[in-house]
Amino acid sequence: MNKLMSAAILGACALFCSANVQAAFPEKPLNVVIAFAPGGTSDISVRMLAPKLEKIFGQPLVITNKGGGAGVPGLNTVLQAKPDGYTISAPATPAFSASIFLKGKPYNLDDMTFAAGYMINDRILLTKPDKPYKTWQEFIAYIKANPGKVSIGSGASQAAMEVLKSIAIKENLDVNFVMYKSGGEASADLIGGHIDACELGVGTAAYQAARKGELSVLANLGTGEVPDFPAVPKLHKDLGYEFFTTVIYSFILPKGTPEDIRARWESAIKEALDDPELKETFHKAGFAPAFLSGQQAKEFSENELKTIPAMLEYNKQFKK
Amino acid sequence: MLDSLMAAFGMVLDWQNFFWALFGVTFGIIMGAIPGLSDNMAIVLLLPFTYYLGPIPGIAMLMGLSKGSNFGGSIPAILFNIPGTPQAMITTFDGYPLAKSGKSGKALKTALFASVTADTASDLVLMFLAAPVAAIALRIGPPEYSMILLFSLVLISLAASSSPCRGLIATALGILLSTVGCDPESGTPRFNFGFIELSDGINIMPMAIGLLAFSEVLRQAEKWYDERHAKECSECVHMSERGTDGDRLTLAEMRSCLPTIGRSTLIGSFIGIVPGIGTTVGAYLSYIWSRKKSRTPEMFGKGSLEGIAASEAGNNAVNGPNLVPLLTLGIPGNLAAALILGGFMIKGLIPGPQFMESNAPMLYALFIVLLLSNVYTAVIGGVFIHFARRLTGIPKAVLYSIVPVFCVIGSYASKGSMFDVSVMFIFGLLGYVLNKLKISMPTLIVAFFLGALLEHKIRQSLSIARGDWMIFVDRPISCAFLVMTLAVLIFYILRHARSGQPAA
Repeated sequence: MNKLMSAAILGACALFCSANVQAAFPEKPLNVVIAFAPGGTSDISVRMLAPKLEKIFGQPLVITNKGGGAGVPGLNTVLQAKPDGYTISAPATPAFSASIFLKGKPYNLDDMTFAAGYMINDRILLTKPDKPYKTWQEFIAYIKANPGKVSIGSGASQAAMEVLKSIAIKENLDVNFVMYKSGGEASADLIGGHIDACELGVGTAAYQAARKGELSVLANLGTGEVPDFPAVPKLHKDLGYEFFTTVIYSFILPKGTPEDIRARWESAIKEALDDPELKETFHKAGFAPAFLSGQQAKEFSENELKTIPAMLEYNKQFKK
Repeated sequence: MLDSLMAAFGMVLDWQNFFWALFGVTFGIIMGAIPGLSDNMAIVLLLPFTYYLGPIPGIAMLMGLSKGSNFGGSIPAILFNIPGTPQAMITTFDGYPLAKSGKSGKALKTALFASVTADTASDLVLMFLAAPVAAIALRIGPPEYSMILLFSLVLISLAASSSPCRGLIATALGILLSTVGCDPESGTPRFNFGFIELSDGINIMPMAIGLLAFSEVLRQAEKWYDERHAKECSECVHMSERGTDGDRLTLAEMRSCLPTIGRSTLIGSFIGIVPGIGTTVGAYLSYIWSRKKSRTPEMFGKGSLEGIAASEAGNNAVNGPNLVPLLTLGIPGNLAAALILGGFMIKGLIPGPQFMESNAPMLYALFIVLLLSNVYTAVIGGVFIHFARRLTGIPKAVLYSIVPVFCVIGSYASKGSMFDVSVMFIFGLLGYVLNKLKISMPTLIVAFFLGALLEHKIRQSLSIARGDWMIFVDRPISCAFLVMTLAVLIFYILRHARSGQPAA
């Protein structure tokens, strides 16, 4: 009897508290932890969103950058924070694949709460327009005609590099892969003609050059729509390759965050993304804003977490 | 062009620009002058501010910050032998001996004069030579890059320290430490001993703070302990005698520094073209060359004005050309440029080829703001020198207990990680030991930094060439630097063999 009583009181308390929270949230500044260094796509995109979110919440956003370790330490600090909705990580999703590549403990996506996804970060394969190949098919044919002569760079994405390797295996290509530390470094070498083609994220310097026609796009390594190049074929959907890489940039809360607070974040992010002014800023930078509900973002990331180990297994056949 | 220029002046003539540039320079000098807090951190701190300002005031503030902190770093380097920013570490070689002999004012004024002159010259390079500089930058691919790095590394390790042998040990240690982190090609973790925090390698900020600032605190503590046991000494120990007439920088001395500044600007500007090599290397190479060219090379390391001028001019001259790839291609050449790029993009301005064409007035306005920041640095720097010299009157006990606090704050703040604070302490202890062994820490830090780049670039080159090392000989620019590297090596070996004693 006593147990029942206390349970009832506890339950009532919880109800009361959560109702209270719903009315008041947010009643103090919100902490946003960007798991990457300032100046990159991750940082810029979150900071573009921030003023809109501040207006919607009526509270300032305190943004801190906790870079390094491919986003893993940044996400981890948030996951250990109090699950009250006042500490959130963005864009946390790149840490999932990074933990696999860094041979760390893979994330269990049930150990966190997905607020929402706000941007699709696809990778595209770029080349110079003066090259003899203009399309993906011509590019493959060119590599086959010139074995060992073609170099493809990667603007610092392990996942994209693995996707390209899986294609080299499937098409039996003799090609050189060159890894870069940043998109900027890779862009410079592509424009300077030191490598023949390069995969890069949307919104990088090379992407801007492609918009101007100084570089051309051969393929999309992901599944999203690249805003300025709708006709570019997607490796998985259009060309029938098995593997692909797409990262949904998402806001992630610690496990155990109350559902009503999570939903408040979700609706705020949706509202911010509907703003035409924000859409314009994103578009100018070459970013592809896209709203995904927390559930959708989670499913998408789960799928990604499953394909990477399969791809790495397949790529063991790759000979240097 | 004239229309754009007029429009640019219209954009700049607004109190906001003048105010925020002034604020940036002042804040930058303060941040630079506090060991442990760096220019990049100042930019990171104030970057969010700029989002609320218009594009030009925002950029004016960021530019002011980076210029101000570049000079600010030399203040503690000269006064206390603790560089405020890593790029000022070469300034300690001559600045500190000069300050110890009571001429801190002269040393600081030389640093300011050289900084501002070289900075202005390198801004002019940016304004008038952006297109050719960008063209050269694009010709530098992985093989060329590798050989430029190798040349710098060999020259610094042989020529910079008192004995080539110790220089090579410092270099080897630096390169060894640079292998911690991830394999640059496969991304596989290596030598990180299970710490995920080490997966990007050792963070250079806490490492430099530990080696340069914290180890100096330990050294001073030891010295103080020894002195106290030797004889009773007063509570307040002045670091240098003040009030000697050696504080003034005469016109003749300024003129005598000019050739050095000119040479160093040239070297710094070239280093600036190659993205990512950085200001410290510019300062180091300038210092080595100036010593070679100087009529009084024996004074270097003992308080030579030319030495200070070379170091300061060499590190400031890197900044102008470093912005070239940002403005012409939208590719940031260093971390500060990457942060500024972020500032541009949030404003909806996308640097790159289009920017030059569609936003010409904005670009000219930016150039004017750059020059304005230089004027501010000269004026505000002058004011700071006046007050900074009085810092030498602070009791040692107070000063050296404040420094560790900033060391901890600075190490934590660079990435917001407590792990980095431990890294700082470990390197502080290591620095103390290395100092006893007379192993040059600036050489070690430069080697750490260049070693990682060198490995990365050599492996990229070999990826392109399918493992054929001839790629370094086949390409003319890379071949030229390879020959120069060999020449430097042979020169030092011969000299060492002939003199029978360590080469200077």
